[in-house]
Amino acid sequence: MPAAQNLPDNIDELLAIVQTSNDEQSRKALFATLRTIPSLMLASPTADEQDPLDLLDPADNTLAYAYILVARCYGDRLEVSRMLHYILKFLNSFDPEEARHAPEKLAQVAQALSRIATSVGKSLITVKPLEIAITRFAPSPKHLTNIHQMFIKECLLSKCYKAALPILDNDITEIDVHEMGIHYTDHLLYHYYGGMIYIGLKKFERALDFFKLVISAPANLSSMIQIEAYKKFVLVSLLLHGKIATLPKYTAQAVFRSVKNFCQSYTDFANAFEGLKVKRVRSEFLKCCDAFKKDKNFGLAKQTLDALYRRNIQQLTQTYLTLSLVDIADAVGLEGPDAAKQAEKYVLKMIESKEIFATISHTHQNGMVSFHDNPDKFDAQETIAQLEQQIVNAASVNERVIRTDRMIGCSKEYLSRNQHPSASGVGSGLGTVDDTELLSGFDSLADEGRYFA
Amino acid sequence: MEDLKELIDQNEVAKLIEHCEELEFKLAIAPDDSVNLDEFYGVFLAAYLIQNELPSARFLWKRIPDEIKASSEQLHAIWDVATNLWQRDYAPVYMSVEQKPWTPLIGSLMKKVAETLRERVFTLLSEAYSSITVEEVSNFIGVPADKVAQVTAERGWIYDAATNTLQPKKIVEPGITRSTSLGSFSRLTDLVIHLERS
Repeated sequence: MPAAQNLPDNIDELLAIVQTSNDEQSRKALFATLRTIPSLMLASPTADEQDPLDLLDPADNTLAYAYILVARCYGDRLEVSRMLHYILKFLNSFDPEEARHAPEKLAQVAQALSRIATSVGKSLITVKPLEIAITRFAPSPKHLTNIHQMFIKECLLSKCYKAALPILDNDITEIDVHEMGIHYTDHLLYHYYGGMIYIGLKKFERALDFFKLVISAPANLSSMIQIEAYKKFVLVSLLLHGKIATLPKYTAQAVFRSVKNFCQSYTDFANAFEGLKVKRVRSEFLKCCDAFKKDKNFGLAKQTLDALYRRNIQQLTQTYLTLSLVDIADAVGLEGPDAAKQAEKYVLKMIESKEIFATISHTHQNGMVSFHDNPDKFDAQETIAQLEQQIVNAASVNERVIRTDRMIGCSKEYLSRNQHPSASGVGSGLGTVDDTELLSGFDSLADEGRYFA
Repeated sequence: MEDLKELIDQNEVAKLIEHCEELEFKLAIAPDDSVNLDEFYGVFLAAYLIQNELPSARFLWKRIPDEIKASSEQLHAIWDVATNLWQRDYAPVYMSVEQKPWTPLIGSLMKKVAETLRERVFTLLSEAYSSITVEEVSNFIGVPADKVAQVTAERGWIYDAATNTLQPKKIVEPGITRSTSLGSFSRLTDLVIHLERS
């Protein structure tokens, strides 16, 4: 510790050190020094009663600024509007390189911001600054940072769901635990909150993917976040596919076990749903109602009831070419005097969203529906463009997997576990690795819980 | 607010929404008394309705501070239209757009809400119906029943007096033009190289 001998005695001395540390050597020493200074000193004004935050530039002295800022924000006396000004100044102009030396400080500043926002009852003020901070801090949009989950949470709290999309729409593939200061739950919470945003915006496919990511995260013990994610996962699966979607093979056994214990109502409901009998689903729904309400999933669960009719109508298209609206209402379990009218509404909605292809005719009394095949011959320009995009995505993911595999193959942990010669082939034989080998390699590591450690 | 007016005049709804979203965040950090919040939120909400971004409209409604909601009848009227759209109950939408006492700025946007809705519905109906009663069409497009035949005739729909139904004209998608460019060749070669490698 080269800096240990000249620890500053007061804030003025510290500022002097900060302003003279210009080369790399002295900056490193400064970072070490900053860590040892008590927050009481950091939070004090200078001898001539100036605010140290006015004397420093967050772009040039990011870490010193951050340390002082955090000490001040968690001090006894919080001057809200003044601190807000400093925090925003910091988040807008901090130097990402330097911030990576102590990523937890950035998280603390972000937390201070959300505390202030809560205290004045306006989560809205956090959304833009946090988004800017993420884009500045992350080396690429594919990197997860320690403030991602905070940002999404603030979007949820302030009801700015749409504002989360610029960040959420990037798939996370890079998790740099040290430089970005990530904890295990950061990844889980980010994708859990993200799933909730997508539910709110009715982008269910994407929500399902996000919950899958949470549930299938490597774990020795399952987290409550995974269990909550599973509950939402079940309901979104039903909405989209009418049954529980399959989870990846590498999902941890611990998660499956706790899901069995904690999500009974949900699996029961899903079982009933798969039968597609309206009466049974409704009675099961009433039984599970309390669980749904307790978990705050009631709104989502109610949407599955609507999806039940749609799924039933879709089933009809496989059997019939034409059917009267009255018959449709009867077949899918719609009741009441205006059942036919309701059936028409469903059919119309489904035509609009291209779930079915059909035409309704009112030439005769009551109305008839004729079902058609999908008229799209998949030869349109967009289809090809879409296909190409998917291939490009798949290729880049594939390359990423190979890179990860190579990294794991070279890591100390892996090599020490596979000292004996027969095992070394898996890690180094990149050309021959197929998916299952890759996954099992990942799995054995995941069981160790080291992936995020 | 001036920029908002300009964007409304230019009919740039997507840009208008973007602008409103930014302005909302700015106002949260630095409140500005010169902005008429009642009018601003009205423009914002109506713009979402024009683009049919109903979930976003719903969350915006939840974000609008209670004291502003309480003092503005107009905001409530826009929100009523939003709920009608949400429930696909279109007849009241056209009615409120025509009859509610909108301020000039909001009024022009609400007219646009009705217009885009009508266009969307026309497309949907011609796709979904081979024949439909006049009364239904009247509800769907907000035109009195005795004028429906005339309005739809402009779009090539055929009126059958015997059953009082209309036969919508199918909208034929323009033929697929497929062009083979150097770009698609290069993409194809990239793909083949990728497949060869793996």
